[in-house]
Amino acid sequence: MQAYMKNRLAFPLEELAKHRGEWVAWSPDGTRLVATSKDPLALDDLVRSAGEDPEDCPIEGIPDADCVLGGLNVS
Amino acid sequence: MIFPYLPLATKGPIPSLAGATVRYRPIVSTRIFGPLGSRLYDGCVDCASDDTIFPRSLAHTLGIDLTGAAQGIAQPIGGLAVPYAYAAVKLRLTDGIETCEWLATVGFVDLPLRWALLGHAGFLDFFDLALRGARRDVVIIPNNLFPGQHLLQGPTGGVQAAPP
Repeated sequence: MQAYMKNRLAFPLEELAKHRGEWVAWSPDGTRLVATSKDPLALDDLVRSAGEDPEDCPIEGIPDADCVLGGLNVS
Repeated sequence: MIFPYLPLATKGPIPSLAGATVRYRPIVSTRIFGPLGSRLYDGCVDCASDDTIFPRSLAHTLGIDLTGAAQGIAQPIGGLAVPYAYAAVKLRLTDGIETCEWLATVGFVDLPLRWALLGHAGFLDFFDLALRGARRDVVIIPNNLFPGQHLLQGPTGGVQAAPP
């Protein structure tokens, strides 16, 4: 998890910004995106197709909005 | 445990941040377990959330049965009331040095949440937290209400129970 956190922080923000409005699955070491999708339910299959185990790949949603007010905001 | 805030670029300059184009948020990966396995799902430390909430799709993936589950209702800012179903799950939080694992009753909401909401019941009540804005990190320490296991990674790689 230490390596994941370090690498996740170093990941280029402009690259991550291309996935606004999507869900992403990170590689276990946080160096790359294993799968991305606008449908969170599709992510597991995409991760498996990429040869990774969904249990090992942290999932994060990238908000489309610049400002999130309240946790139940789904933009 | 210490977790860095996660940065995300914004589409444009943010007036409240003096024109900065990056938002930093206290988001930590939390492992949630069910009968069919587990997932690492990012969650936002959210002291405005009374409950800890995950997306219902995750319950389906993990085989968590919500049939007949107790229901809660949330009223988001400016939105309609949102029902959610409670279930008892195992959660695990680790920074790679310390690990906390506990049983919690959390809610599952039928919304495509970007992050889980790490709210008071099930999460914040069990920890003392410091949101360190200048350092852009969050310190999370289990408190005397923490109901689970607190383990430390030893210097040789072994795992031992943390002293109380």
